[in-house]
Amino acid sequence: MLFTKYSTEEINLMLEVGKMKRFSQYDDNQFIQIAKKLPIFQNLKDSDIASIMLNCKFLKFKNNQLIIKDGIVSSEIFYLASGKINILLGERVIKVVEAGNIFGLGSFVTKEPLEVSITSHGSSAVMSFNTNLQVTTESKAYTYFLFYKNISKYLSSKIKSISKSMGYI
Amino acid sequence: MDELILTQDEIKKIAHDFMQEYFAEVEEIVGFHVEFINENGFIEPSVDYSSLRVFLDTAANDLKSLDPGIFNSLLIKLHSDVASLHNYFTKLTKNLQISKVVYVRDFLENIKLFVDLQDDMKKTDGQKGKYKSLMLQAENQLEAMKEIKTKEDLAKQKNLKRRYADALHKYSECEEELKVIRKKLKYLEEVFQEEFFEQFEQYRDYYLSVLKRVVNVKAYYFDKLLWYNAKDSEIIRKFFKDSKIEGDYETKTFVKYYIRNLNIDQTKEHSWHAYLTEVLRMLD
Repeated sequence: MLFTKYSTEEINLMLEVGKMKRFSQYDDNQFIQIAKKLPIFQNLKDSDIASIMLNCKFLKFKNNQLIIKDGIVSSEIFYLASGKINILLGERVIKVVEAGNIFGLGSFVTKEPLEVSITSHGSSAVMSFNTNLQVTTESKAYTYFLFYKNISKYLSSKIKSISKSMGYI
Repeated sequence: MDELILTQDEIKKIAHDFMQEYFAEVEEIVGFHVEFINENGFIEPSVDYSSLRVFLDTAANDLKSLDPGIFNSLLIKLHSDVASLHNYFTKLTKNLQISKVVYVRDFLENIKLFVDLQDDMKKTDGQKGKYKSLMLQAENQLEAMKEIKTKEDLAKQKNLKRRYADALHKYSECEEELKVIRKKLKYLEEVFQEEFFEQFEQYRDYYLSVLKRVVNVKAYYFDKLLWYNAKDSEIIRKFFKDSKIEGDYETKTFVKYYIRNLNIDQTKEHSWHAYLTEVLRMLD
């Protein structure tokens, strides 16, 4: 028994579980409680959210600090946990977004460079989710499927809402 | 071989070859596990899990008795892996603890020169004993011949005296040879000491520390997997709720629960309380 071998699936599970501990050292419950309120995490169990959040960063920004620069192709989507952000076209602020919103979806959907930059409007706290999730087990495949499905639903509702405000629907 | 002198290079090589052979098994074991850990990017915890092991086993047994279903094949495998490695580590630590024993029992007794000399000593000592008894035999026979009456008696006496003298001569030769052998054995015992202990301590400290880290990594993943499975168990969730256990599903929470339920007035629980408090301090 001194040379126990593990299958790839077993190793991947151990790695995931091990990382969850590392994550929980940074208070994963707090993260999960915030995430659970987001539409993109609907119908997901805490453990599923935790595994997605292995790819999550919690970032704090000072006033006017650059969050995303225009011209980049990002695989991340962002949730504004507190404060406000500026959306800039060139140097002109075209919109101020309040806490509780998801942003950065443009590049995620089109895979094209972002046309806008985003800076912090005062102090802000942002959660960033890397969407390049690697499927390691069958159960994770289903979790990620639900996650992407939620993103699609969120985007559809946004498009519907914008269309409605413009009088198309 | 009247004079036995080994060069420093020879001493180093003999000691080095011994270390290579003596630590070959542990090298194979740690090599296997370190490669596994590094190749797969396993995390090395900052907490010393070898100190937590007693509690971890207690927690695992308690959770298992609540819901045996949490012990899936991977958890069983990992549990057994940790236990085997830990037992091996404990056994090795014990075996390597007294380096002087290793030096005499395992090192010197494996040097051909030393073993040959020991054989020579035994053989020579045996011969010495044989000549001693021949001397005694001749002495007794001479003593028994109180009166020399005949020519035959005289011839017999002469013969006995010659035999005694021969035996005495051989006996003295054996004694001299034994002195030389003992001197050589003593030389060998002393000449390797410094080099041996220096190399041995380096090898021992290295392998024990690496092995401890390997056990630590495996125990860490066992701990995480145990709670990962436990938190999905309805029975364990209910147990936490009914027992008013607050906190995450993790070892730290369980330690607090244990401490809460201890009666430290009882002597037997006093040391357990001290241990749990130390465990909690380590996890904080």
